[in-house]
Amino acid sequence: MTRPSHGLALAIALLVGLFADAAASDHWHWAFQAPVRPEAPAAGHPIDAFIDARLAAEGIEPLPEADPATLLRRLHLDLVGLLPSPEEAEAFAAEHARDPQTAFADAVDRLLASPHFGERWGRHWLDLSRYADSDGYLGDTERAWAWRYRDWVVDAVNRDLPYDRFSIEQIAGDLLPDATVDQRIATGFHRNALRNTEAGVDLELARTQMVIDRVNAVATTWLALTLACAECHNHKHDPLKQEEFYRVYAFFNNLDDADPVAPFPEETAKYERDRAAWDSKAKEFESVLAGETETLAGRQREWEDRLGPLPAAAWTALVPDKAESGASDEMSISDDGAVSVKAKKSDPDTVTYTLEAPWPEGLGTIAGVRLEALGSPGEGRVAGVPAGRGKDGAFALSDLAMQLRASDGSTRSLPLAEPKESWAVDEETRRTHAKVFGLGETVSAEEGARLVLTLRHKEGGGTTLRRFRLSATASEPLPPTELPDAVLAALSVAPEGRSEAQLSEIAAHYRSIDPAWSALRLAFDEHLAKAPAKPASKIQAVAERRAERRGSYVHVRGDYMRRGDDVSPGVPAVLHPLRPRPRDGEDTEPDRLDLAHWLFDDANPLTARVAANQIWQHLFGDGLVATPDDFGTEGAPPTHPELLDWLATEFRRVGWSRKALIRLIVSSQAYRRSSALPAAAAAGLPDPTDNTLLWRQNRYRVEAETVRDLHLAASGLLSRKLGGKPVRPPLPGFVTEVGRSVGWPESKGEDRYRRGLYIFLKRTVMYPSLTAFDAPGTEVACARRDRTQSPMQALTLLNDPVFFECAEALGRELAQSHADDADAAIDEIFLRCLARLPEPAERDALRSACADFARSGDAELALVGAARVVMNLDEFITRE
Amino acid sequence: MNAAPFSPPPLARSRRDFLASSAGGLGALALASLLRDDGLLAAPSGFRAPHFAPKAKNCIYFFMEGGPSQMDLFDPKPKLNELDGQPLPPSVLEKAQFAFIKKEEARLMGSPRTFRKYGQCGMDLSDLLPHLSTCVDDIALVRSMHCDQFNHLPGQLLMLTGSPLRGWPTLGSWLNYGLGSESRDLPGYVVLTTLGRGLPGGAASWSSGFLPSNYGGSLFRSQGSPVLNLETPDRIPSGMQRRSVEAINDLNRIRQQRTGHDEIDARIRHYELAYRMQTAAPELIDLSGESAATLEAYGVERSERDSSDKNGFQSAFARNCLLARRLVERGTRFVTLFLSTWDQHSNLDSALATNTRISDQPVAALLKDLKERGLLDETLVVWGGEFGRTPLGENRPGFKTVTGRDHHPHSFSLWMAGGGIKGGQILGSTDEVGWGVAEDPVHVHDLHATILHLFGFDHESLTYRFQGRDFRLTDVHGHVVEKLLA
Repeated sequence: MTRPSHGLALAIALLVGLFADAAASDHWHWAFQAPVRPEAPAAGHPIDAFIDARLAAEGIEPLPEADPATLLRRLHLDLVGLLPSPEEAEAFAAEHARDPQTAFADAVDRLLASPHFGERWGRHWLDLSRYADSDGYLGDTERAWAWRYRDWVVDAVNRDLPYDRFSIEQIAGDLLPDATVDQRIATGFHRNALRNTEAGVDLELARTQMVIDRVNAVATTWLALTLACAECHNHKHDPLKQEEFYRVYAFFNNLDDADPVAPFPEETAKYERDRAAWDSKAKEFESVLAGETETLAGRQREWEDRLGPLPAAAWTALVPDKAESGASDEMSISDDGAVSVKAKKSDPDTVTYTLEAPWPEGLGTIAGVRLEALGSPGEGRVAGVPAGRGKDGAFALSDLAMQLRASDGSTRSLPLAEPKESWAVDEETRRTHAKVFGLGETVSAEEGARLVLTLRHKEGGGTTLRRFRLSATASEPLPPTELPDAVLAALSVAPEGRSEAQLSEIAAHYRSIDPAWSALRLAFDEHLAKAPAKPASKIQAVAERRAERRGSYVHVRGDYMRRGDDVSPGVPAVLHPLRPRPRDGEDTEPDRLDLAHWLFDDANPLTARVAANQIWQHLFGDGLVATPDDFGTEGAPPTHPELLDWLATEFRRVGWSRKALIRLIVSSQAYRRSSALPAAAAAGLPDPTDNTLLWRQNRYRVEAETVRDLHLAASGLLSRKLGGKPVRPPLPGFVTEVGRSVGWPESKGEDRYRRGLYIFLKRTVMYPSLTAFDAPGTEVACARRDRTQSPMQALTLLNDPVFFECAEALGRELAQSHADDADAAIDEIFLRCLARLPEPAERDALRSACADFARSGDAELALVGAARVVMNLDEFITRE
Repeated sequence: MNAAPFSPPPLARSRRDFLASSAGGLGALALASLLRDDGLLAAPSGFRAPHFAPKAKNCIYFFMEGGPSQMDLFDPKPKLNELDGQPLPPSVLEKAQFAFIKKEEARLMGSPRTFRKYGQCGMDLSDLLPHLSTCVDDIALVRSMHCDQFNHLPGQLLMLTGSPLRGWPTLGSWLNYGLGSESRDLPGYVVLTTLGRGLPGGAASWSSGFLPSNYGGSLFRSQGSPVLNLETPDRIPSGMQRRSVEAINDLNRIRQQRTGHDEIDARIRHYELAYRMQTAAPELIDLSGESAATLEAYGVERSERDSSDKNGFQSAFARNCLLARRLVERGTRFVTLFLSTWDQHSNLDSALATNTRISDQPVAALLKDLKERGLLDETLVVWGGEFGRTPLGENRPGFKTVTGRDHHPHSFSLWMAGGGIKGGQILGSTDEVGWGVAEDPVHVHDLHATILHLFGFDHESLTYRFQGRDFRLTDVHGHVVEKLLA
């Protein structure tokens, strides 16, 4: 380019100055400019002022208010997702006749205060947060605590946690000062990402996919930005660079899973109560045992006196260096030769322990072996452990076999004096028992020889040895076995010369064989086993990684292995700058909390508009921006831009109160209009299906969960229980068995009839009657559900066992209450399902069908059939 | 400042668009043809007209879950047999990545199978495929497939949807979205499964992803009640079901008059269609009208004769193959048959014998049956897994002996027949040990581009807007493999 003259340069400079805004970028786009609160064009309800001004300009006459019954049903569906009861409908009609404004306002207040409001509006939020109860992908592991996030959302909506705090806690609750459990549960938003745990998976790839998912979910949910389009290259349409994608990525790149134990308050309280009761009972035992100690000493003296002359200790422990169980149990060997078995859960019929031990040092010959079944009596608050694993600590050894393995590897068996001798103990199992097995003939030591011992249990039922020790002796005849070696050694010391340790060894042994003490101790052990377990409920949250932080860089063409430029956390330049909060002594690299605050900065052009649009969409079926997930240049422009900006600024002005904004919107005339079309001709519209300008309300099918909830509510089966673990309504096996993880334990009782919100969201087996009605897939943030129609929906409503059960319940109830009056029954069905009475033509049609159904001779079935017909009507699942 | 910050709001969706969006799709697509019949839908703008004349109308896709071993079935490697027990050349080994194999000790493993040339085209196939070997002049065998996913689910999702991530529509969904269904009373996209260990993706394997949910596949059972909720509740006599649907539609019509909303008309049609499906679907799975020769050819009763087939997979898979033909005859656009599992990390020889015993005969019978009935020309048949298996033996820790092969995305085989495919050819080749592709590489995206081409679509133009982006089956990749086209 040639250098322009001075004069021309000056002119250019002026022009550049004049058009600075436009020239600053090619990206001037309404949604990237902070909303400025417009003046409402007229007095009255501001929403109506904006909408009516536009309608007037177009010469369109809006429809009048819907009739009270439709209005009440609409309010119920929109605010709580349930139906008004016939009583509520009647009361509302009466109040409405007296004072429509007050009746309406009261109904709104009542519904906003209902706990079901949080269920309804929480579910909207769960669509955005891609909530599910399982990992997705191959294993599709259940997420045992995901539901605590779901309950947090419902609760936060119910207590109207201001939208800014509601959002900040989800994005960065863990980084708030002194974060509460609830604030950490809120970060479960990030944990809703799919997780690939397939064996052999590229773990770093799987992790980066989760980070990318988190970036996209935040961008869609709060900004309605299609930031995902900049993952592999600069955004094709919006001013978002690939590098900026990875700057946002950097905010989430050091986020780790955190699943700490965080008991519910009531759970902790119960534990403390139970623990106190258990402790006081334990103290009673201790006091009884203490009393018994006094008489015990005397009995021990008598026992010692009766012992008479003691044999010499003559057993040498065999210390195996190899121990195997045929049942793949874990076996461990201690230095004194004791072998402990940690059994696997399954108990095969035959369990064989095979032990290998070097020839015991110091023994020239072996004449026999001793097997000690090592029980341990309880001590203090440590419960005793029986020697066997069977019932009451029993064991049953079928036989013991011995082999000698010579140094050349050849083996020969050492026959026992009494082959195949079995040994079982089922009493006093918490003390040590012993049995001696004599060899058929004495065997002499050989250089490098080893002993192989085989212990077989063939009784089944887990009657195997838990802890045992083998010893050998050269003495003949074989020494007696009543006393363990350590006790024998202690006893052989003269009483006055015994050490503390020796005294306690003897006393402990005596306690284990004293019948009175053992009985008491056993009872105490049983109590000890009932110690209440500490609360173990966890939360599914995130925590910022502090050590070994990961650096972030551009993934060239979206491939994490192709490292591009390093990036630091930051936001797209087209939006307002992010100012990190001041922090002492730390580097000021912005973190997630700064990002969360940035979303609610006065200068943020998107957050408030996006949220207001979401709320509007849930009250009109469509947003003012028809693409709630895309406010970029390729998204739909707002139909009422000034109204959107007014709502966005109003949302901020009312302290981000969701309930306040909803109350404001539903109180407008625009919300309350009729949705029926016939009046369209009078309105003079070229196309009566076009409601862009909101001359009427929209009419649309309810969401998947609501389809279920309406059935349950109308039938009276609905459980109104709030929160808690997800439920699994019945499903046929061929539906649940397509995935790798096939468990679908059916819920029982009331849980079968919980709201759709509570159905277990298993990503590989989505609940079919929800999917049929366009429940979102939970893979990515869903800002707008499809509203399809299909014959599968008809089949579901006609034949799904859950829906049929609802029709049956209603039909059965009516058969009792209106046995002889079909018209009254029909009226009741209409009131229960549609919150209105039938028109004569409708009553005739249903009466005629009912009469045909009654030809089956089953009067109840006729009413079941009538209820089923109404529950299949378009109107039943439509919000008008 | 810009003079017009907001473009004028579009005066919303036309009635026709509305109908198309509410009525478009899967089983609902059948509705569309119904609406056409009834003159309700003059021009079905819900469906994308093909970009050029299609060769294929329907597709039967055999998804062999787990990764069948190409060098034991389709791709003989004499050199590999020669080098049995040797390590991989270091140049290859260095870059190699495995799911489970311990790299340093990995050794090449030859194949015990014998290969012979069959047909006029002289295609060599393994002795495990005696039936398929009689159909080789109709099939195009691609020995140069490759992908970039090591693990089952990402690999399967890539093959099924063009993306290794969950949430994308499957091929069957795209085709129904593009073409609609020709069936008046059956869904346009049906899934039949013969499950060993279950599918890693579960229902994601036939999901409509971000397309509207009515483009998703319908899981059919081959026996009992074929579709979920197809059976009228026990308590309802059959006449009462008919009368109920009449009453529902009578009352819906009254409401339609009151409110004037078209979607009530659509719902009325859906109830009619649902009622018809209740008859049509049981008729579909009722094989009593099939000749004894046909049943014998497919091997529908093999399990009863083979006591080793404890799960009855031989008969179940044969039934599914026969149902696939019956579905296509009745206008179903896309049928996927899953057979899992082909994931032989160990016991490759015996498991391959079992799998081919299940699948070889009925697959070949289906090809011949389609041909005899003149359906093969318009029905594309595809047979393949998500990836292949390594020429190396699998020496995973814990495996005492090497009896299997690991996952192998770098080269694998797949075949296609009918629907505009040039049969009797082998496309592409692998290197001498079967590690990488030597000639004519075909990526999964290329396969998808080719399949869409056969159905008359330019894969770059069949798009759906989701979250601000026009998505397509082939993402940003894919080239039509011209050599495969007849």
